Amino acid sequence: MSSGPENLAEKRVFTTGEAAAVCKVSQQTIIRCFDSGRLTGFRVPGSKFRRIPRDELIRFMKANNIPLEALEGARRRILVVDDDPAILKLFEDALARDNRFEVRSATTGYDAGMATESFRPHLIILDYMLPDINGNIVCQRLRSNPALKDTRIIFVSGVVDESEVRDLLNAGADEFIKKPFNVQALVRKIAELLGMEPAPAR
Amino acid sequence: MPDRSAQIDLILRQVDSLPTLSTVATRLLQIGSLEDADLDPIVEILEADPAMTARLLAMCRRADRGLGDRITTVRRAVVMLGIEAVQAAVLSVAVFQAMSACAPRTDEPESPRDDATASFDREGFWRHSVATACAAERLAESHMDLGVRPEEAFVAGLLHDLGKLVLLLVLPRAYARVLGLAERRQASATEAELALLGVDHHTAGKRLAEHWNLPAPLRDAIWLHGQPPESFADSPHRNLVGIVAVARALCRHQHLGWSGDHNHPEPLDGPRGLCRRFGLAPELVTAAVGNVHDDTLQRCAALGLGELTPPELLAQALTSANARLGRLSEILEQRARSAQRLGRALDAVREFHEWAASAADRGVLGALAAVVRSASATLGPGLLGVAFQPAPDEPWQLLAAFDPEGRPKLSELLQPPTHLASLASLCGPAAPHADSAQVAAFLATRLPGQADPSRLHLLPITPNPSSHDSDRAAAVLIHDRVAAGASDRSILDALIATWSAAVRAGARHDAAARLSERLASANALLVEAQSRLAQADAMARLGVMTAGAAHEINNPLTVISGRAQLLADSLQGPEQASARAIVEAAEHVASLIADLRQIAEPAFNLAPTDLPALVQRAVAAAEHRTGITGRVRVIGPASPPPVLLDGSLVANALEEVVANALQAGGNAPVRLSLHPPASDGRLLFVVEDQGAGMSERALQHAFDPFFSEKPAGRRTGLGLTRALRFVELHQGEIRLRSAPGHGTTATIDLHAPACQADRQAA
Repeated sequence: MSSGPENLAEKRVFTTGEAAAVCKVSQQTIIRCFDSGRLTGFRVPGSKFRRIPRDELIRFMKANNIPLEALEGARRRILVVDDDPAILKLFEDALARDNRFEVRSATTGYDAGMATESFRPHLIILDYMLPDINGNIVCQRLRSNPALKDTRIIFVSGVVDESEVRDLLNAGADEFIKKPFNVQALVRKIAELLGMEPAPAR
Repeated sequence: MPDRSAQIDLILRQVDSLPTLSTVATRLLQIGSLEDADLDPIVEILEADPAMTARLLAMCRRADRGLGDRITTVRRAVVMLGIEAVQAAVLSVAVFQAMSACAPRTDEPESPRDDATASFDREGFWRHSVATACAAERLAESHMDLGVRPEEAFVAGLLHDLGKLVLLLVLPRAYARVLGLAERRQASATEAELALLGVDHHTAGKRLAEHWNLPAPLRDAIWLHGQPPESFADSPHRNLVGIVAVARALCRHQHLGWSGDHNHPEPLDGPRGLCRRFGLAPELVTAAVGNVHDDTLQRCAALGLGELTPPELLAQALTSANARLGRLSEILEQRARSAQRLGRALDAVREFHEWAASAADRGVLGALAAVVRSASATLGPGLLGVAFQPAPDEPWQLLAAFDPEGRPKLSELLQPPTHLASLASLCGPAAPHADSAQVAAFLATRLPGQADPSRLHLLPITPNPSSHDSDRAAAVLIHDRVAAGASDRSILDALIATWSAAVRAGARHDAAARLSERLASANALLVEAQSRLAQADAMARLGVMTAGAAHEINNPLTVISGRAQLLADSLQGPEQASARAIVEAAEHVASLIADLRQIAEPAFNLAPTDLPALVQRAVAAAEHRTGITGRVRVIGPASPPPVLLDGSLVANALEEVVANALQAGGNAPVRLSLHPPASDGRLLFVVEDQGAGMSERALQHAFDPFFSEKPAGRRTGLGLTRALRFVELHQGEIRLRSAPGHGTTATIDLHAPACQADRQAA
């Protein structure tokens, strides 16, 4: 994997050339869009160099159905929330087997909220019964934040209750997985939710 | 009845209103027994009353004294007989005159009960009194040691029953009833007087004696002569009283005159015993009374009491004795008849009790059958039936056409028309005849044969039903006999009282039985509710427990399973197989926990369900699970209407049963027949296999959790437990029929609300 896209993925402000690379279009197209106001940004004070902030670029890309892959990098960030350290470790090991995922963990609902802000995960694996807060509440909070509306949520629980599962899905969860789970099936489900290839290229 | 003491007081005050003695007698009594009294005034007084003089002289004459004709003047009588004798004679004449002349009161209030009276025989009364007087006189003469002057004894004897005359004069009508009562009861006048008037002639006589200022000995003789001698042992006049009592008894034995008494006067040894008690010598008494008849005749004549010859007096006595004998035998005959009737009634009652006792366990119907049998024995052959109503507003039970064992061939519940009187009102006091006729007409239509309503009699056998709960039962006997005679009537009366008691006891028996049945069914409901509650409670606990267990166990299980999967992916060969075995075992544990959760808290959702699809799903799942395919033959209608049930739970249960059948062994097909709900709303799945069958023990424990007779290592025994739980959610049951070597038939029987499904589907 090259370092270029990774660098791009880390940047907060883009030049028109970088934006063209991220969007896989010509620089002229970016400049035209910038000048017409469809892509907003600013000029470097004292010069005419155009600069585009990351958020604005993402908005533009989404508005024009341009895949965000290049911008966000190949590794997807996954936050695992569970009060059982052994479970957390299992998830980390299971997801780390292919290089496509970057995994962080949290043991409480509060930690999960903090980690979501800083880590900006693509997907959260939530244990339904957290020590301080119930999964559906976490789910509702995440969904009430517009910036996180694209974050996928998978619930995991050892207790299956159909009505609770229904409530969770209604609250905005994308998937429910029962403990114990099949590791391969879990990975397949995550890849599917994130629009990735079903299996890593080995 | 007015206040007794007031009545007695009134009677006694009226005694005081009776006429007084003539002045002659009064003066004579005042002179008393002074030995030195001047005779002249007395003689003058007496001679001033010629009628009195004549009677006095007649009284003084006594042939046997040899004085006879020599007493021709009052003076001579006084000189020869002594002042006391004359005094006594005068008193006798005066009292007799006073009382004879006195007419009974006519202003006595009319008595409501004028039946059973007897008339007062005045002449007989005086004759008895004179006879007693003569006897007393003779007794006194023969027992000089007692110190009683014969003249005094004569007067005392003459006046001893004066009280009867007093009561007659004061209360003629009431006294006629007293005499009637004494005659009916064969009792003494004293008993009857006390019963009806509250005061007897002894007391009344004493009162008059006081009113007339009669000497104390006379008063006591009048007052005490009916008492046992012991009660007046202290009286100074006890000898006089005794002589009068003996004289009276003698005269009653001789049937001299009429006393108004009907009791057997004295003990069987007669006056002899009485003589001894009063200190009289029986042989002297016998000798003394030999002349009583003659004396009586003569004295009666002297008092102007009708002329009788000695044979006439004897004949009269004989007649009186005969009459008394006749009366006694008549009374005896009456008593014998009534005893015979009572005997028959008792026999009938005893017989009834035997029948009723043998039918006691049949409650009121048994009692009614016994009543009919008893009535049949008493009334003779003919139509007999009985109508019974346990309580007002309840239907009637009609029993008729009884066989010889007392079992009714006709037993019918009737709903009588509303305008008819209730049986209870027919049994009540004074039921109108019209009601009875209407009820008879109604019952006639229900009785076998052509019963003529006009000839039907309804005999209430539970008189006056009370409003009390257990005694509201009413029953009438239906018969067609002509009105029973008085004697049968009295037997019937006795029987009805017994019948009534038996019928009511039967009704109470039935009510108690009904209550205990209700109690039993209430208890059964309670037990059922308790067991359901206990089951629900157990399920709730299991739910809480399995929820906790699912959480607590599934976390480590997730780690075991997940790690083993990771291991399996990185290992090869036998190590990889081991890792996979760990994964499988973990999955098994997880599915067990899931099953427990489902048993404890199944999700139950009713929806219209297509039955053939359900069966297909269940069979496919069972085949998949067991790995045995193609052996299930499904029989049933191709497209039955959808049924409202939880398809996934029922399919699950059916899958379990089919899987068990497939695993039972053998190669014969497993028959699964589907019976969609018919009119009774029951949905059946019958699964038959020709496999190994189940032992008695296996059948008993088939639905227990974790019980399995399958070889170790096969699926656990939670399956049927869970299946039964799902079926019970549909108000159903699973029945197993099996024997080792003969295969097993399992029936899932659901009470599915099919009609609702029809409506929803429509």
